[in-house]
Amino acid sequence: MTIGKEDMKNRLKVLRAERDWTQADLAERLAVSRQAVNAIERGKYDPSLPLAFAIARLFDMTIEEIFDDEHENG
Amino acid sequence: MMSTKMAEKPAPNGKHRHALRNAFLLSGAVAVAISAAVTLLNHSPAGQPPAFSPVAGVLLVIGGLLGFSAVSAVYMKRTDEHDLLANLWGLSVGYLFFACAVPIWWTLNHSGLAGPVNFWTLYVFSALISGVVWGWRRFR
Repeated sequence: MTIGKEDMKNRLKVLRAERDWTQADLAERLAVSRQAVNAIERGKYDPSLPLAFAIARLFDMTIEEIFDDEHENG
Repeated sequence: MMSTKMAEKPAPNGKHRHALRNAFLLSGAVAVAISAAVTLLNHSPAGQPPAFSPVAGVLLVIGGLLGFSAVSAVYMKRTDEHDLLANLWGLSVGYLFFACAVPIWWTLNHSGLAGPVNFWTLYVFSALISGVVWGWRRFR
């Protein structure tokens, strides 16, 4: 987490809802606490690289398809 | 860089989910009980022997250190990165409070504006501030 940085947006809540998982279900699959999942979904916490990769593998997507730092290219 | 082991460790099953929380609560209860016992027993008038013998005191310290080390080892094994970061924030802010409060209080004391530095008071307040910051970062 970087102080002053805009919270990173992500589609975690949507992806979780599509599979009808609770936050606790997702937390158990990722081996983290439910509070961690809640904080990531609300943009209050940015996961580490290993956890981001684990999330991407779980949903069979790339990290960029799940997380968006709203960086404008070009 | 966080190890991949943290993201790939097996999820705790239901019966172990609250083991760490219960261990911490139990440790806290034991610490409060010991503190209360020391406070109640240590009303020794001047010249009277202390509440604990030197051997008992050493054993209590060793037991406390071993217990704290064991709980810390269990915590490090079971925590996740979010809680670890919240803990680091809490401990940092708590320490910063202590690091600032001591010289401020010392200066005020030597200016005649405050009594002598009470390290137990600062210890308790540092712990409380650490806990509040940890709780805010963890559960916000």
